[in-house]
Amino acid sequence: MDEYKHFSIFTNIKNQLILEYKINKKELNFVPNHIYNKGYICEDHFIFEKKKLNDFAIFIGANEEIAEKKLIEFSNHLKNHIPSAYEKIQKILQDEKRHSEYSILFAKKTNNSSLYKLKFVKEKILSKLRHLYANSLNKLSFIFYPILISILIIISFTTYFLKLKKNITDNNVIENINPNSMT
Amino acid sequence: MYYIGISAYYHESSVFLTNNEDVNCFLKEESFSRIKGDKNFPKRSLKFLIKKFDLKKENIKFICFYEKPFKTWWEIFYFSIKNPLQNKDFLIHHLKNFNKGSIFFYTDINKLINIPRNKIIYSSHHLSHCLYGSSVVKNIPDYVYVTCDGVGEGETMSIYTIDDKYNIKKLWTNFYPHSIGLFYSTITDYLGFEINEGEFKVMSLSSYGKPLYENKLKEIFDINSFKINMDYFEFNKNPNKSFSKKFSDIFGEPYLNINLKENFKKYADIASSAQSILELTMKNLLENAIKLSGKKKIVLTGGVALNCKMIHNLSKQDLFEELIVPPSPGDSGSAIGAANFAYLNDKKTNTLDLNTIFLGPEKKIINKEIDKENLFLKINSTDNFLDEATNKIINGEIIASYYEKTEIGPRSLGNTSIFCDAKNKDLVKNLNLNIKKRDFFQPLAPILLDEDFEKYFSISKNIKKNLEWMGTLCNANEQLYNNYSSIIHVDGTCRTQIVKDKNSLTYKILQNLKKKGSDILVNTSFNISKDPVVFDLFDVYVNMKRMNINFILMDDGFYKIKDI
Repeated sequence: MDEYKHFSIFTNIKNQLILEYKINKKELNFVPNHIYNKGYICEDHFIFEKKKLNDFAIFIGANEEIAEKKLIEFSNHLKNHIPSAYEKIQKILQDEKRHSEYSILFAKKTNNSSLYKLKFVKEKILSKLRHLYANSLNKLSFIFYPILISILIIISFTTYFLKLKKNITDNNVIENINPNSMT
Repeated sequence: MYYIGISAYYHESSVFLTNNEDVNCFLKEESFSRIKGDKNFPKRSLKFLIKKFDLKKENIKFICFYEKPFKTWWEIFYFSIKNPLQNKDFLIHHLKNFNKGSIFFYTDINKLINIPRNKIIYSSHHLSHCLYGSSVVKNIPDYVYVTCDGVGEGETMSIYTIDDKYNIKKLWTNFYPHSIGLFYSTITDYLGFEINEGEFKVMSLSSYGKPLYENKLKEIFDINSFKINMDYFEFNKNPNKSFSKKFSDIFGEPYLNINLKENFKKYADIASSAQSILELTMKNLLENAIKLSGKKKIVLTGGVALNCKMIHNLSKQDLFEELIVPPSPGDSGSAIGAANFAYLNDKKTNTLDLNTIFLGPEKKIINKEIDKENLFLKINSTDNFLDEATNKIINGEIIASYYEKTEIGPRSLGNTSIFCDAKNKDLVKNLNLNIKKRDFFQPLAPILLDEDFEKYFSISKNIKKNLEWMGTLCNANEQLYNNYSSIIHVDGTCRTQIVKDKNSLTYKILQNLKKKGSDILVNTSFNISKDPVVFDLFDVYVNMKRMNINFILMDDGFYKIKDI
């Protein structure tokens, strides 16, 4: 319920920004493609589905801290523009702090002390690596982009000579279709 | 033996399992993942089925994917690769997504269930639509099957017939990029709505405008030859934007704030013009289908068929004897078409016989392992809990319904709905804008007994069947204006649902309501705008809390939500 509440707060802030600054609403769409597609947030699994409950609790505990810093930066930025939004984000921060405390409490209870510390440090390092990876994607694209363009040009040369026939009609669809074929 | 149809990777993922006897189970992946329109491989739905029906290779006859994976990927790529540098952004995006698409369907299936390769088969995109359409009519050879969508395997429009020996003929096809579906989606994008989600908003908005831009749009999409002018589009170049600069030069700045009066008027006029182009195109397509097949009964499938305003306007033109749009005509319903293909491929001279539109699982099966009493308190003091629920409605309460089998299409048909008395104007407005968080230009839909329909509404007989699953609009009569004006759209139409099944709880509650002085309920799907419809009791609980709804009608009683 907290997360739904937070989502609604962010949506209201977004709508306020759109109205006040006459921004195109599509420009404010949150689509973290580079993160989502690269599996930071698993595309075909939710994190809680992939991790055991113990490990998930540690994941939340470790990552909440990083998220908190980002959210504080964001709320400070909003402070002068939309003071009411700043207030609301402080409430979100309190909620998130509570979630983080619960997670850490649970993780400490269900792991022995040294194992907990080890897992916690591992999760923090992984999180930093993920951020490093996401932040360097633009740099990596300098290398991969020309390679992809070259591949496209080669394919386009090959396909230039292809004359694919398209059937507008088919007198016996079931007989002419190969059910085992993907093409 | 079970036949399983799967639709996934591009639009709402879904699975349909049947043995063509006593088991039919349709599931959408979004129900489990809670991501609206989830297009990922439906692993959660399949896990549910594997567990509930103890699926293994021995009891599965075929698993059928609804289209040809490589063909789907290739046809769009092939069109854009002709100009690799101009279309590089789209092509790179398409290349990068190669491994995320349906090409790896077999691998994805085998992660869940070990099944030999010869049990995995592939239908064709429009054929799956056609075979789903054939499963909702009784005399299959009497109909011509028309499919119209954005694109599927490079096809955008198709016309099929099926004879009494189940020989299927494709009479005509139109190819990518010439697509009325993509044209309408581009308008959706231009107006600032999400593609695949906002088309119905464009349809509602169109009733507020005049088709002032119709002639301009006719230069962009030829309604007679079904050809698109690609100078105005970018869907083959840009993965994030559908319209070109030339389009914006003519129609002005995109993505304006629609809540401002001046923008609203302009955008409503553009929506109205696009709607008009769609209707003129579809009129020509249906005429073409009738001419080629010699049949005047039509089954229309594909995402375009979800435009119920178009269905209503086409019915006024005396084109056909009957037009049927199945409850889930988009890609999600094609999972049923794929299962039908698997069955036909196996039996050769027979197709699935599905007698109901409620093909989803029963609520008690979904919630077998959840203790309802922890979340809800039974409050009916007598066995006549319907009477108590009706009293609440008459007294101005909004109640939720969660009983019997789950619906399959995008519309809730009473079994997973939110109800309120349609007479109560303020309540209806509150439900629409504050609780459901819909836009003001989208009206809520009425539901009533079939026998009361003519008292309040009128409709051409040739499309009336579609009212059983809200597949079309109808006109409001004077008596409706007098008593239930809150549910009438600005153009005098309503997206009405009629209830015929006398054994259903929805029928009984409407009957009860009638005795207490009201004939019509407002029926809206049990979700908040942009969320999937609720699936299990946990979703029900969370959504009721979010919407501040306190009462819910279930199979065995009337309940109040608990505070936990």
